[in-house]
Amino acid sequence: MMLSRVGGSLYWMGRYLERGENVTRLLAVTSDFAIEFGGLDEALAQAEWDDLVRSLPGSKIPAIDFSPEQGLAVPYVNAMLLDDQNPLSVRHSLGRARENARSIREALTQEVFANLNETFRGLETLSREGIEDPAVSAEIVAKTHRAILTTLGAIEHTLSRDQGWTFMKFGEALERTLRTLMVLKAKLPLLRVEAGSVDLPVFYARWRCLLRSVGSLENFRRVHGAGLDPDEVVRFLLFDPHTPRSIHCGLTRVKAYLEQLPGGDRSKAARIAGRLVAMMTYEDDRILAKPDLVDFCDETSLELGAIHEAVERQYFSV
Amino acid sequence: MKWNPHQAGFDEVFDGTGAPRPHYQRIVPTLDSIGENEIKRRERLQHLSLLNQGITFAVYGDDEGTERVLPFDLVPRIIPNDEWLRIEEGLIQRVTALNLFLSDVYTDQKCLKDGILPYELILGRPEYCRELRGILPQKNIFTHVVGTDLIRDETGRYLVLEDNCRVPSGVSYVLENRSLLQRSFPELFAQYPVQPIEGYPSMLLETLRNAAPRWGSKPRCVLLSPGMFNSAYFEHSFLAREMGIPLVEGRDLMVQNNHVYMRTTEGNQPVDVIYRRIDDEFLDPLAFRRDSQLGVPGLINSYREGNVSIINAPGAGIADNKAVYAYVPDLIRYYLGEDALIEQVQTYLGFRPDDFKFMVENLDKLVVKTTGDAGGYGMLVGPFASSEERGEYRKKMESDPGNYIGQPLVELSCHPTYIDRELRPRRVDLRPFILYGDRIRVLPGGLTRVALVEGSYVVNSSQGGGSKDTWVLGSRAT
Repeated sequence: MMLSRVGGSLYWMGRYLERGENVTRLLAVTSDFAIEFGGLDEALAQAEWDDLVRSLPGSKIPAIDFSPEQGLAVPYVNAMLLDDQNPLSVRHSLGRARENARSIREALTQEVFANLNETFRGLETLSREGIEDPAVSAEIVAKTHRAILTTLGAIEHTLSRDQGWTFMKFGEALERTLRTLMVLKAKLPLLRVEAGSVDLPVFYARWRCLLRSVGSLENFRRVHGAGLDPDEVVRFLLFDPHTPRSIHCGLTRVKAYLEQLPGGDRSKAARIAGRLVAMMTYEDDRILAKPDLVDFCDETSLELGAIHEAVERQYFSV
Repeated sequence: MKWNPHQAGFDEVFDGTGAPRPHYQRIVPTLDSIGENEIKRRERLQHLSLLNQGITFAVYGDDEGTERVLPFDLVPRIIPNDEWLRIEEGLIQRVTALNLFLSDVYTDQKCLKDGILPYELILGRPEYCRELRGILPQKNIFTHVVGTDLIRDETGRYLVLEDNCRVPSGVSYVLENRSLLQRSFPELFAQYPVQPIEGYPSMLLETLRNAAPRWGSKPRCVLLSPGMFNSAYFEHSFLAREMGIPLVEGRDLMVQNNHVYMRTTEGNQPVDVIYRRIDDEFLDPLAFRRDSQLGVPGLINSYREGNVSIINAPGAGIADNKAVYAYVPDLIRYYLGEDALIEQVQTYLGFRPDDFKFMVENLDKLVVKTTGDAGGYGMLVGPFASSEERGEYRKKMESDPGNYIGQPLVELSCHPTYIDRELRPRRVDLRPFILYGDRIRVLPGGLTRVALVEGSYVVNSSQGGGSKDTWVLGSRAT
């Protein structure tokens, strides 16, 4: 049993933390790729940053003023990591996660709050000065990623597995699935067209970058080895039941958490999730046969939006 | 380490010859031996730890961001056991009398009929809730949590400066200060038998449960906060967490058929005890302020029916009215047949014409306060005010003499405080916390607030005040 307001705040805290983690990871991966190819093919490096921006619809990036010393990464990192005006920046997400946490501290542990607070305050301090040096930029992104993972570890290891936990983890699973869908939507059309038409090193690098963007490169290699077959990669990211950022895995978690909530065996949200999981389990060939996956990504995102609304109505609205 | 001598008032640590008092004899050399640089380093770590844990308070109207750390001073205040026992006894006596007074003014009003207090002092005051006449809280306890402010005069005598019977705050800092000092200066604790305080949340929860309207089943207690933008929000959330009870806002509660419920993910659940951290006037827009967004419509009716307990009880604020304060020694004599064990500051009452004349003529020597305000609002410190400020204040006084009281400025005691790598004397007060459950208990020590600004008498956190850990020694101490 828990206050509706507290349940809602935990749900949003889970979503914002996951969003912050995702954007940080995207920044790290894109920085690496853009640095690797910056000298070789500047247009390619720029295209990767464009992908990042397209995979985060709704983000506000100021007109970027490039200087050769800073390269491409520094302005993007400033905008996506530190800028509070940007609703998808890591600082903004962690700030919202922290606001939610502050309003329900009694439902959290000291470890969770202190870690989150320290991470947020670190970004807040940095944003006063901004980043100028590309080497520092990479270091800060890596450090922020570690700090967020520490907070998630504190959640894993100190919070009671009660209803509040379920709301938070449900938020995390829903956000994660959405984020993966958006990355796939931004990157796949171009990658699939290019398959076979570009340089082999570039080809591998781009597919590797996609897998890393959704935190799945090592998991993929463990199953399929390092040979990056595009069809295998797509199948893996959509349907692998084990890698935590595949769509199948995300939807399965969404469904499982919904079923743990009071009245969750027959709630509207759980029924939508059940339908999506069945689709991912039994209709893989139909989905893969589509000429492009943009429609699939859009439709699934809309269904997740419907799940969000149903949960909001059933549990949080006062 | 440089210890600067004090100039005025009672020195808590050093006696007239400059030697440390017996109960400070071990701490002075210990701090000296830690060394300046190490102390500075630990002080920085303390500050960082407070920030990271979010132990902050909000400052209204501050552009710099609304969260600040309450400055913590590393030199603890030490109170010997025998000295504390006298304080404790005096506080228990005072809280007992104030509760008898509250039961009386909300029922038969014998103290008014017997002429102990004038009628107009009580019945005309907004803190007196006439709607609640004839309604007594469970077990006749009105003030379950009291924070009484004590100061020490030039001779070291403890005086009550004011009683806080509504929603006294600061206890979270008492507990956090202790844990902070234990972590950062463990060697100080090795030398003293310091009485523990960490049982406060358990005692507070017991106090809440003791006040519950239902017996048998485990009562459901909640802490009602105005929300995270309130300056004391950290404390609300801290206490809810430490007690393991839900922290609710007004919008989380509702009243149906005169019973209070909270809105949960599994429907509405009944609530038995509300530890409220909002003032009477905001509790229930149907009973008090209609514009209140913080309260719960219908709450007072539910209380009136005895279906819910409110901690502290509505209407308790009349007991810490500053004009009533002047009569507390008389009330103690009237209800208990005893003399007050802790003395208090001499008080002139504006509603007495002679007193008012004296106040107006001596405005430059007095501290003048409004009777119903708390937290240092509406106050004039005559000796430090300009003649224009005094002139303006006098006009306000003349329009409503009964609303003012005057007191001589008491020279507060001083305590060495770590500032700029030196220990400098700064003025302090003490707010012990008193819980009234199955009996009255006093948390050993309390919140020592310190005026960090040189020469200042203002210890309030909103105006440059800090705090210290406060030790009450066990009986085997010197």
